[in-house]
Amino acid sequence: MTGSDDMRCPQSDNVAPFVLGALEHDAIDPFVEHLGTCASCRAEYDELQATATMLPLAVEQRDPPPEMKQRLMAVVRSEAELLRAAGPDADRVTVKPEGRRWWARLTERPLATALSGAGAAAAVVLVVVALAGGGSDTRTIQAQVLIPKANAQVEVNGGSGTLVASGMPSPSGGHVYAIWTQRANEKPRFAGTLGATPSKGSARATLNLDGVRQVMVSVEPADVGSAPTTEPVVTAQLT
Amino acid sequence: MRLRATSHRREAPSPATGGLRDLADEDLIRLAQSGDENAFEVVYDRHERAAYSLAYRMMGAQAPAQDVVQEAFLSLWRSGSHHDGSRGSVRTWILAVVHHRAIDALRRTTRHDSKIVDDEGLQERIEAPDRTDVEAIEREQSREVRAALEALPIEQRRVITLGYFGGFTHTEIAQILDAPIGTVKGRMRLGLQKMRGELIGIAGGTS
Repeated sequence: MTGSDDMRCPQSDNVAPFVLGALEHDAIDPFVEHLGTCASCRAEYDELQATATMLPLAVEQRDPPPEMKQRLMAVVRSEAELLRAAGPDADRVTVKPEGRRWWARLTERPLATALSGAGAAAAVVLVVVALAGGGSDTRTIQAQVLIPKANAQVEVNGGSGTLVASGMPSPSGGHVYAIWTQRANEKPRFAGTLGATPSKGSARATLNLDGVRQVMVSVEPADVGSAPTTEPVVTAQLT
Repeated sequence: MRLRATSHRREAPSPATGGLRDLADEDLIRLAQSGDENAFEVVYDRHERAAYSLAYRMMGAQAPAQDVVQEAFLSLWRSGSHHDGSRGSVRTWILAVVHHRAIDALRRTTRHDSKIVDDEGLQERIEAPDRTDVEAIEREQSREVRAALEALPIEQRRVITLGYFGGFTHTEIAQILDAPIGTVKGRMRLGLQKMRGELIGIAGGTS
């Protein structure tokens, strides 16, 4: 089918850009759907994908710096230990991002946190929402934090509030902690950035919480986009 | 249990990984998915060099390449991803995750267009001093893939290189090359098909 141009599906022109990762973002979801129903495109996909997967072999092989493994395995061992401590029912990732990247369907299940940097080991933490009186009209909500030794809470007072975080390591170069607020039936909205917290003390960010059901913090590039690209390292459920 | 002939280990292995190093990738992935960090470490050791090399080629610098590799492996570790053996080897799967992570990283940075992405890197030599049979086979496969890519007409090679290693979309490539989008898509397809013909002997992806 794929060898006969006059029988080709009109959408088959997208197969090659798709397997190269070069299809326009907006075209990806519709094309993935199409692949599920078009045998012709699927056959061409299988053929071209097999070739595309060999392209990494064409690059010069380099020895990675040793610290790369040390950094990664420090995080992995920390998480494995916490998993064991949490028991067999513990799940590794408790929060899914609002959107899934297109390729996640083909290559992996829920995306992971893009934390990097020494000591930035993520932990699996059960969601604990503690309501505590911080004043007559203020309630303090403990956030779920995936960074060991870090702590975060949201102090809610009417339609506004403050995110207070401590023990957060500096994100790796070029990244920031981005704060997101999410209202019912809406996607997360960017609400500012949270500075790295000093070794003693805390970082604070004032937020408009009117109608907000969830506050999140994720590690993002300095030019923060319109939606989170990594899983949150801090999540506070307000309702 | 399947056995694997060798690994690409560069760092001293943890004592706890000793017996695991004889297991096949597929068995190790299953163990890692159940939370076995030692199995995960062995998988990492086997594929970190290929992963880092691909990331470095795409990102053009050490620090962002490390970030990409770390993100990719952490996502594999944390997500408990399921490897579908019918769709290729574990290495193919890992490199696909690295590739997509690098594309994401390239597209969210403003330095995307400043990266040098062309054919010259293909002339570089592989200098790994390994002597094992598996690594010798991989070096030969690598040579064949580079040769197949270099043998393409330059306009086909360029669109594949810009797309796969450069992280550019087909629309961006059309602008860069001042060519119609349909032409770019067609060159990608023809180039991949021609490479497939050259590489039919090692089809099925990286091992």
